Amino acid sequence: MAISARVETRQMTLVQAVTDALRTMLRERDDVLLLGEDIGKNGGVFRATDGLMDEFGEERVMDTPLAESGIIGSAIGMAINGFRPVAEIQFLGFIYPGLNQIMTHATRMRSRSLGRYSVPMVIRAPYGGGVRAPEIHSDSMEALFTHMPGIKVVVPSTPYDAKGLLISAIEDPDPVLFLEPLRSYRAGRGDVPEGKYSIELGQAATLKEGNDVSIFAWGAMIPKALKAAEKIEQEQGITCDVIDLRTLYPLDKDAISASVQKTGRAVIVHEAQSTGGVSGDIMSVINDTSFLYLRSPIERVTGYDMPVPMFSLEDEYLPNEDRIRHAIKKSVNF
Amino acid sequence: MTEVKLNDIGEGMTEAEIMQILVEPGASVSVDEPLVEIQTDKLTAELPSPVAGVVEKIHAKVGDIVQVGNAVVTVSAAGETISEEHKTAQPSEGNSMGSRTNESAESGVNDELMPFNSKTGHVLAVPHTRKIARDLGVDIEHIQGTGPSGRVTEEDVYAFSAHPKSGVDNKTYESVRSEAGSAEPGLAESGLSQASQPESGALASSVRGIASASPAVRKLAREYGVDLADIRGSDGLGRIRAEDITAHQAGPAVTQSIVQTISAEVKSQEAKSSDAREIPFRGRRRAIAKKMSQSMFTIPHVTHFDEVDVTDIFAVKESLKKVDPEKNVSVAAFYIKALQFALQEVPIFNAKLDEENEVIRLEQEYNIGIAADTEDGLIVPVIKNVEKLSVFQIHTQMKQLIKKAKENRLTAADISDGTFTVSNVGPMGSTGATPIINYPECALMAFHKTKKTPVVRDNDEIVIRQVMNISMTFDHRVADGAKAVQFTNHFIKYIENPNLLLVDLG
Repeated sequence: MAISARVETRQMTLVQAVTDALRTMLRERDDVLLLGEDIGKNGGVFRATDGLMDEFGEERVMDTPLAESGIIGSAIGMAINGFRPVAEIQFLGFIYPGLNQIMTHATRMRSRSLGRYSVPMVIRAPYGGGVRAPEIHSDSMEALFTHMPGIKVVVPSTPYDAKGLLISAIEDPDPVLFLEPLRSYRAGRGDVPEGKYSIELGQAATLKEGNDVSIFAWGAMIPKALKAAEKIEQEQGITCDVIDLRTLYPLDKDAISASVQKTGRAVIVHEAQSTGGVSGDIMSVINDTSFLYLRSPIERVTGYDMPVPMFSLEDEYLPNEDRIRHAIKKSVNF
Repeated sequence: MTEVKLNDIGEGMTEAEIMQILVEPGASVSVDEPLVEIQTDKLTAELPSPVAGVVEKIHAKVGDIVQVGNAVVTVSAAGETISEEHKTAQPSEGNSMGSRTNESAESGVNDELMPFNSKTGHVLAVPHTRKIARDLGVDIEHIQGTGPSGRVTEEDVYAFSAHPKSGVDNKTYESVRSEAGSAEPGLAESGLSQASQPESGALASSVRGIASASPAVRKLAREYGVDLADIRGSDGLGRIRAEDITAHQAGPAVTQSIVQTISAEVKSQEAKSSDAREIPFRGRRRAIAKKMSQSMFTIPHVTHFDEVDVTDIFAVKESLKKVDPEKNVSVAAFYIKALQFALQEVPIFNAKLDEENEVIRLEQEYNIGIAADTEDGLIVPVIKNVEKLSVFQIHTQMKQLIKKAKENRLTAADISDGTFTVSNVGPMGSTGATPIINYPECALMAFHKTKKTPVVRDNDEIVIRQVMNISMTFDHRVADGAKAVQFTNHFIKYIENPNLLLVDLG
């Protein structure tokens, strides 16, 4: 007997999928609250919360003063007291005033209270470059947070993932930093199911399968990695696994090792600075699980060890298709 | 490509001369097929091919002196060809591999590679290749890499594993690869260990940079002041044993040059060269010179002369021949037996001086070296444990060793461990000499021409006897003239009274 299921989907951009996730959860659960600068009336700097205040009211979608520490601190307080707040930071590069709240309280409340309290909150923050934004607006500082024990770091790359992962993040009992690649906000559309669905945190997705090299990337680097992989396959017959890690903490070690053990080669792509970047952790996973399978040194394609430059030089800073292809070739030709 | 390099084939040699080239470029060679014949200070040896394949290039010509570690011949291994075929046989991989080569040349990505690390002795190989080697039970350190900067490639491992010596006769890269389960990692964790082990011993010492020896042996080496890197292990795994250290201590066996020899190399040189007055000072000649200088300038030599009436020994020899023609023993064999008895009575001449530890070490074995004249110069094969051999056995061994020496077939074992040396120049003539001691031994005896001589007996009767002069050189640091006279007196006693040999036989 054939089983068929019909899922209603809608074409959405990534930012629309974020909005849809928030709306879905606001409808689903009374304990979900949104807070942040200009997220209410204004609908957020990227319109991620557009229309939500109208629908759910000021008590559930709150405009806050321009104070990241206050936003995150308030969210922590609400989370401890039974809510599931979703705080928006306008750009990840503005989160630094709130770091103390995250590090000192959000991430360690469970440990400090010996499991009595948890902090089920989400911090949403657009991150990354490539949109000609001014200084600080383009930072990709995910590694600051993967180094903080106690907070999950999630980065979607597609509309579908954005909705599913955000729903999981909101339902997670612990704090989650949800990084939205702002370059991908409106870069394309994808089918997004209506209603509630979730994607498990900590699970990578294989977007393309190949045998010669594993490419690990996330966020806005995914489209570039896919294009580079397709091009090099056409040009040279080198086939790549393209793996969207989706969650940077905890990393999907099984997916990383399975792919590297298949291909024997790895290229890691991220737009953050190289030193101290998450690529180092991925390399360490490969080292721990798959050292003997390596046919060549692991390659990294990353930003440079400097602040993201002004927009005229932004394209020089960010990894591009050519750099990724070069790394793939280097890895295969070793 | 496999570069066949000159390896240290023993006793810390540093160079060798190419005597013959046995293959031509383009020739197919099998594993262990000799490629060139080399002559070191002491030995002539053949350099075998470590792989089956085709001779690509010969880097030296006859007469060249090649340093240890330098390539002599390049052989393209059969495995390489097979692996190429394998690659093109698989379309998906073939495409990419084909273009990879070009890419590699273009991008120059291999420039940063470090070459073979001679300091650590580790070969270059990526982890995946190491895993394949481990799964196949192959020691990757024994494999000569054909990849960039000499890196060992997967194909090298498979080719090495298919090596006939490993017992997987006639297996190709492909068959080994398929037998191994799969080249795809992770799928073939089990079952790989069934692949055979390569014969590790033969290759070990030549490829590995680090000497393998137990702590006790290392201690011994330190006591002797011997550098383990100079010693070739003999236990089949390339491991250095205590015996190897003592053999090394005994030193190369070269003794005095009494007879002018003209080596083959000199002859050929003269034929070629318009200036026949120049003789290349190389190979064994140079080794002899080095050894002689070392001995002469280390040991205060004293030579003591005497004469021996050998008439009765000759009579014994003749009567033996009559009894059994098979037992036609040379008189030198009797001399050697007599020397052993004399040495047992005056053991100071069967000894070695250990200056560092301020000890004169009396040897318990009587290993008598016999100076043998060969085309290439003097060489001293050693008859081991004369005390356990009959005169006839001494005779047989002596004949064999001299034959091997003439044919340049002596092995390192044949010329090591001597404790006393004799030089039998009598058959050629001469009445006396001042032989140079075969360092680090303490004494040496030369037998000169035996001739009929009128001898005045105790009762003033003049008789005609067979008399032979002997020259006995000894290390004056170790013993004095009186001891030397004592020693020759014992020797003379045994030779002049052959029956004593019977009585004293152990």
